[in-house]
Amino acid sequence: MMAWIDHWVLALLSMVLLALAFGLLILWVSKKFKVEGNPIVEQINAILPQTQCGQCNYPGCKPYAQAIAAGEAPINQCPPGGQEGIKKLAELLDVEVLELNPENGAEEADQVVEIVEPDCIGCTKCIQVCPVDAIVGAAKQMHTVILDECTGCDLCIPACPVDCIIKIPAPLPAPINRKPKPSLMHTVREAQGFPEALS
Amino acid sequence: MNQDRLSHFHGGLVLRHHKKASCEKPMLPAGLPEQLVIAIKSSRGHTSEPVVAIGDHVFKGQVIAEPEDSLGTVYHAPTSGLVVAIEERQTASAEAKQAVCVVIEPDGEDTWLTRPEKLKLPASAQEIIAQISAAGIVGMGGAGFPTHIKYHATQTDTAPTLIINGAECEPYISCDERLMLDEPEAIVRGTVWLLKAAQANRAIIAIEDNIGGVKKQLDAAIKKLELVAQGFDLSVIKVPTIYPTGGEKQLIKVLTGIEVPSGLTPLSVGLIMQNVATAKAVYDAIELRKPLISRVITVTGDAIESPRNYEALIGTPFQHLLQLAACDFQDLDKLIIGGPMMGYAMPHADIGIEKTTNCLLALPADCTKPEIDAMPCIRCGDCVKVCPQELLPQQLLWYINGNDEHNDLEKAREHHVFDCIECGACSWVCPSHINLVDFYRFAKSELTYLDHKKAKAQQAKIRHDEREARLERIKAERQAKRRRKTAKLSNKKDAKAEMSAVLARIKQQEQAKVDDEG
Repeated sequence: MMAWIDHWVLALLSMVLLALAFGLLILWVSKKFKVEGNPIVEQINAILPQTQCGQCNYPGCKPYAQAIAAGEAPINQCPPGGQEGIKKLAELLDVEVLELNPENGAEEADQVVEIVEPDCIGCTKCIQVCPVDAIVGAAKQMHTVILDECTGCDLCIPACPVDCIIKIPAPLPAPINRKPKPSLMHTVREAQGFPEALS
Repeated sequence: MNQDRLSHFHGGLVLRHHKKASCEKPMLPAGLPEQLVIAIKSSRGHTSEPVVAIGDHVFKGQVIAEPEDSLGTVYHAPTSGLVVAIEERQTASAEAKQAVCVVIEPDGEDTWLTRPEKLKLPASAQEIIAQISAAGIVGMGGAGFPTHIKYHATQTDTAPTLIINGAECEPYISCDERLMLDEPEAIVRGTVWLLKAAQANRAIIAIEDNIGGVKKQLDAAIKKLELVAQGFDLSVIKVPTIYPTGGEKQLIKVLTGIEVPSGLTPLSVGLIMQNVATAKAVYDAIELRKPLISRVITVTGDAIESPRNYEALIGTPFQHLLQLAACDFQDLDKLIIGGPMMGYAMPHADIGIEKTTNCLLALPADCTKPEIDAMPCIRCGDCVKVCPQELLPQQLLWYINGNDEHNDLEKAREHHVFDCIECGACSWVCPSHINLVDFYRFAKSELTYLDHKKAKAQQAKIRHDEREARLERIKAERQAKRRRKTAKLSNKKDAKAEMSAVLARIKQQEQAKVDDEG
């Protein structure tokens, strides 16, 4: 009878010890391999176009990424990222693909801004709002936009007191030559133009 | 690498040649057209900056444009005359894309820019490379890659083997064959210069086995120049005529059995490939001091009455060449630059030829492929069997076009769409008449664009993060300064000293003002 209880105590004791050992191991591993910050935020941020335009109602791409990660914002508030960006976010987060929210703006072709230089009064207001330091100039001197650095966020346009900043199509480096997608029917019915009624 | 131990590449097609008609007669100079339209951009899109202005008079061989980046080339005036326009025009490239062109009206004199009377031949590899670069020589087989760049990379490596590509595999095109028949010695001499530039001694001239006469000519030239005695090892090797055996990677596979790894150049396996016309251009540049201002071009097709090869100045409009070859303009339905497999249709004939334009193909309506609507892919796999790059064309099509739901262009990249050489073999055999190459061209251009956007976003992120950090730092610095000042003024003695210093400064300023007025 006593032997049976001994075994029982021994089993319990070994289990407790094992649990304690593994618990300590987990504690050590979690300390040793701690990941700084939220990795999902970084992944979302990598998909966002980094225009820092604020059209999503957040003060930049990273805050929006944080809001998405926290489940506070839907994935369809980024017009520069467009439908492609939404698709990628949906794939990453395994959620449904949404249409771009028209309240945030519409998807446009790539654009950058340019300063109409004769009109510039050198107030430096645009320089202060540019999120990527793409405008150079000094007080009472003409300013200019570094086109290669401009993300087309348009934040400088409302800041300009003389409305001398205009949008232009983004220049592409010479070897890039975008082509339209060729079209191909997916089914024989489509290709032969069968009316719906017959199908 | 010898005649008896050739390898073979995967797939490929046996096509009818259509070369005989244009290659029977020796080439002719095309003469001076009314205007020369010289596009100053390479076929890879790298532009050059014009160094002449409208109204300038230029001499033959004068530099008219300098490269903007390391992959651009120099352009020379092909004849003497007046620069009448520098403007955007359609060019002899895919979709006749617009680019800056220098338009020269010849004065008929054809006066050379004064050239040194006595030729001083380059001694070192560096000098040869410099001369090749200064002559504006690019790969004339079609890629248009600046020739001198291939040799900069060889300076440190072990001596490579040079392959001179005379295997012109596309139907109709015969300019390289004609050049080898007419000027074998120039080609061999040019090859020797290229060998010296690469600091190598072994070269192979590869030709297709259906042009036997050429081998005799080249062998005779090699013998005549006594190259063996000088330590050079040149041989002419015939390769089987299978399309696209003239492709860089295909020809290397046939000759050596080596596959050039994806994304790398032949130099990575110790080889350099150059077209025969490039070798000839190198000879012209070094021994005749003639920059690349003309090339041999085949004018052929069923709408041409007397198909022929012409030596035409760069910038000669298609119209001029078509008239020379007696084109039946009534009959002409499609005008193609390049061959029927890889060429591009041109919208009109007022476009100037470029350094890489090897053929002008004029086809009547009954010759062009009937426009049958493409049908869906039935995944028969015929394209897989012929693909010389061993890709899976039907699978690539599926990723590019097959399912819109997911973002599959990236999958096309994983399936090596960038290794596609756009030879058109898959489109040729497709029973559903799908123009597969169009899809791969689209995928490549779109992926390149997306990469560009991604790189730009990355750059913007770095700049934004750095700006945020800078603003943070400035704010912290300002706060620290204020704190220091507050701390300092909390001591009564220091505050008093500071006060009197300020008062003294004000007094001094007032005094200065009084002095000024006085």
